[in-house]
Amino acid sequence: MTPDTKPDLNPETDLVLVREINAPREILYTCWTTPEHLVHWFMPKPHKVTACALDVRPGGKCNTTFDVDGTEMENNGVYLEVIPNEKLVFTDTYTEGWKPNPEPFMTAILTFEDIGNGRTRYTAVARHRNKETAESHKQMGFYDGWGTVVTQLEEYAQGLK
Amino acid sequence: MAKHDPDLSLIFQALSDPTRRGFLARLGQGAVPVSELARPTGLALPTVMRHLGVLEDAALIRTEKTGRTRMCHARPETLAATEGWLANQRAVWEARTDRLEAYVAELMKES
Repeated sequence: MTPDTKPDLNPETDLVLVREINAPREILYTCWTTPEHLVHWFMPKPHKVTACALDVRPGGKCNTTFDVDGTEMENNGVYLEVIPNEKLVFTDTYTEGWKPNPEPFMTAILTFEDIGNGRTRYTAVARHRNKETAESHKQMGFYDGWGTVVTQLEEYAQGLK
Repeated sequence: MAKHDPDLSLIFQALSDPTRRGFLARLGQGAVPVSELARPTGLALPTVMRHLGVLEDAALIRTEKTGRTRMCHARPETLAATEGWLANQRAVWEARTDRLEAYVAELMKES
């Protein structure tokens, strides 16, 4: 999937990230689907991924546990679509056994497109349920180092107004 | 990219560098010439210009030549686009992709 053929996106709730990465798609896919790899890059330091269980098939669990400043945060979901080395779709709308999550947050659609010379066009689409749930999950943005930067910048931007 | 539709990817990439954030913080206090922006950093002018180019592409600053000096101005309206939960989520994804990219580069170096 390229941005030109992306599904109907709601600019209020959906985001698309496209990056051309200097690595074959098989390696990127492996990094996303192997706990031993995922724990190394999924969370920004000093936060940690303390547990990761991935059963990479539709309906299989996609569970990670984070340590955020000493607090454990569980982030559980399932895969919805799995095309090895090409596409991964997962969501927290359900957990293993198709158990509905009372407060689902998002569905992620990752595509890995071979663009030659060992390079990959990596596209991540994150579709969020609605603005209200998103607001209630706002803290999710803040455990990431980026969240801190954005917060600081928000304050900074406020000061400029 | 139209002025009212800032490119968040460009913005976050521009903001990922502490030197550039330092420039923005300085410009938040008022417009200054490039030379004055460069002086406290000890960086060579071409390096400073490259950083400013990234900030300018992201519409975070604008520069204008007045006589022999180039003045830099903050564009706070662009930073305002990073407010809100969706921008936060984008920041999470951008940063995560940065780390994935760096991790994969390490992996390939080792093998």
